Amino acid sequence: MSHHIVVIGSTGYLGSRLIPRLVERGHTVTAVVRPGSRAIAAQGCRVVQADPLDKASLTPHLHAGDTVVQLVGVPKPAPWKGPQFRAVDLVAGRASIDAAQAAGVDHFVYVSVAHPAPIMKDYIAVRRECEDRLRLPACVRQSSGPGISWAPAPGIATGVSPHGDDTVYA
Amino acid sequence: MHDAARRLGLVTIQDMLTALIRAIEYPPESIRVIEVPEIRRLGGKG
Repeated sequence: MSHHIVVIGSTGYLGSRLIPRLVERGHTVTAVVRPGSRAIAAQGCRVVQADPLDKASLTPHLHAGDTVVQLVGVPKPAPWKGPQFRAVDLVAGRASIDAAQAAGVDHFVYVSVAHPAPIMKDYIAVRRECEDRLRLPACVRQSSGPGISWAPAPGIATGVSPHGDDTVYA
Repeated sequence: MHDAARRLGLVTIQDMLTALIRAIEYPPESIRVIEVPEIRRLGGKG
């Protein structure tokens, strides 16, 4: 079955590798890019410009029936990047979750973090806050009744690659 | 290096991409959390 997928954070480490695979599998993909990043967007997808930190900027690009994949994050996370995590990862997470809810998006995929490395406490705290936001009753699909059709699928892992391009922290 | 990566919960980029595609193509009824062991398992099937 073909899906319409909106990728927020589409030009990063995971997004740039994920989109070609989705297109290859027959899905329709919209890549959300920051102004000025259109040139580095993946081939084969529709490209729209929006500010990933701003709900009002994202909402017009999201629609009922879409699957939203949220991949925005500070590149190469490290313990000393706490202020950046709060300024980018947290703000982008909130903005995209709230925009998806406002737009009536059906399915939200969030890349979070496993917790084997306590030294990354700031990063874990930010990702956990976004997970908690996704678990709010307003965000979770209520049985199969009409009118409410939003189902987040949080979890998976984080997209750090300190060792080259073959491993990521999870 | 490989054993250390597993202890730290590292997964490969291929595992991650396979798990993401699986998450996208099979939406949950409410909430589904895909943990590291499942990411590795899905990647192994990829």
